[in-house]
Amino acid sequence: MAFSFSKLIPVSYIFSNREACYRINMKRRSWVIWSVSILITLCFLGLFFIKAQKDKEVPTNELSNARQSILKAKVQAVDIHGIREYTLAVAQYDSALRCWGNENSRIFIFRNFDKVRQFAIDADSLANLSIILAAGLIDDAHNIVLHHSEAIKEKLEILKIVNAKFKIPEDVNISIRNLQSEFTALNIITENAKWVEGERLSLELLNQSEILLGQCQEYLTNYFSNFEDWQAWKKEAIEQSRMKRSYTIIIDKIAEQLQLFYAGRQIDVYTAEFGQNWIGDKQYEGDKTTPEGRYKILKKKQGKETKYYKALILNYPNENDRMRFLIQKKDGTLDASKKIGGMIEIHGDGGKGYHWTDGCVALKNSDMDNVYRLVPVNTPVLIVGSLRPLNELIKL
Amino acid sequence: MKNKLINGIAAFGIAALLVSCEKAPQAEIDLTKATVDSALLSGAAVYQSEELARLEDSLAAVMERIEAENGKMFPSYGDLKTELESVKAYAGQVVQKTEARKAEVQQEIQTVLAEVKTLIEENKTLIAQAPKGKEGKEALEQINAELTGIETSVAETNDLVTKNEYMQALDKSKLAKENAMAINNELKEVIAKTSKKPVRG
Repeated sequence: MAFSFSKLIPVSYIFSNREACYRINMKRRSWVIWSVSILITLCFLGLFFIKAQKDKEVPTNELSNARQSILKAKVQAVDIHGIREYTLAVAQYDSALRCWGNENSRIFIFRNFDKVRQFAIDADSLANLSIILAAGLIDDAHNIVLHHSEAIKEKLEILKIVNAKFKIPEDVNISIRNLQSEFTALNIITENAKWVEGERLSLELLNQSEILLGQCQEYLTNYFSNFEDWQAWKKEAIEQSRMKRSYTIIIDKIAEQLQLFYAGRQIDVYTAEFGQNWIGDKQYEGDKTTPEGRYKILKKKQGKETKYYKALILNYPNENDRMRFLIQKKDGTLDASKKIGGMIEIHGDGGKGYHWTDGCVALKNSDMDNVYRLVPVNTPVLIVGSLRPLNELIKL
Repeated sequence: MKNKLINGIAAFGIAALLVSCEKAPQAEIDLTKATVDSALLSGAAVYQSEELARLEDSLAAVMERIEAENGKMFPSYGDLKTELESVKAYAGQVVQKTEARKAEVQQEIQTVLAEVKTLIEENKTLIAQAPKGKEGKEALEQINAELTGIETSVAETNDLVTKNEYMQALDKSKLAKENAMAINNELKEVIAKTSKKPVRG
């Protein structure tokens, strides 16, 4: 007879075992499902936690600080002064934003914001540094411009006085006028508080003013190199007048005076007007310069004899004038076509208030009446640049 | 129970997926940037530099916040769209202020130029009155040359206005006026010195 386990196990037992197995299997499945669910939940929670941590790492404060510092720098116009630190600050901030974008494009567990943070911190520091540097730059420029402007103004005043008092060369005169115009431009720039731009211009103008002052000084120093001769001639003329008890005329061009002496004493002084290019010695006909030297009255004219009310004709050119003229023509200083000129007079119709003659000395008619009445023919006439030294005139 | 749990997890996952798909409002961003650029093109850098700086800062602040949202698992751009609209509106205001300032400067230029032209005419009259000019023919020629220079400045100012370079034009016109006034004072001084009659013009 075959043995069957199944025959040994009662049916009811078999059925109850199957149910038990089924129950056991179900229990196992529930455990697995629960375990997996819990695991998945834990994973999600873990990821959320990591994400939350990563979000905390985003340097929003640092970026905000950097942006505000850059704004502050812009409002203070740091950007227009070419401060390198400002440009770098902006570049660093842009790099921070780009880097942030790159990190955001990565899976969050791999994100790292350290670089972003560093860029932002650097941008903030550089922006603040640029503000400090710009403030220093502007402050320095402001002081320099004010200092230079004072100096330029002073030099312009001197140049104007020199130009008014002495007949300086025309090209120097034009340069002075241009300088004045440029100085006005500088004032407009500084009115708009553009100190850094003004600093460059003020330095240029200061240099120009110093050059012009130097040119004027050189010109006048050269002219006044004759001062000792003028002094000596004056002394001689007065001595002659004293010894001979006669009249002598001394004309001081820079003082614009005709001084009348008798017996070595000054008896009168009259205001005189000269040639348009009155400073300097006469070189040739038509140069509109009043000659300098020792002359005498050759002839007296009045009425229809002269067109200038009354006139005292001088012996220009004298020997010195002729000799100088010949030397200059020979060495080429003067063109061969030039003539020495003549007809230099002391005449009336003056009192115009400026130098207008072709080289003559003009007096007001009332003054001319006195001189004409008193001085005879052959009266010595000394014409000099100045009876006062240059340093005294400059101080005045 | 198990099915409910599984269904619940699945529904949560789908919802998360849908929500995390919200994109940054690129169209609005581009439009706002274009509006800010238009403020720049209108000349705000010259005429309203501080306002332009603040406008650009406002845009930068919004962009930072957008980037912050971009990094989130569940970004939300609703408020940021509103902020972008505010920046656009601000840009519009900056443009208006720029145009107003330009109009002011243009008006000032025309006023100054009118004064310059009056001074030039007056100077020409004074030159005719000055006895043979000041200190001779050369001085007179120089003054005339300077007056010609001032007239050239007036023409250059008008050119700058045509090119919409108003601030440069204003500075040039002011300089021309100062120079014209200097010549005016100089001529009046000389005429007063050489004549006891009151100066005409």
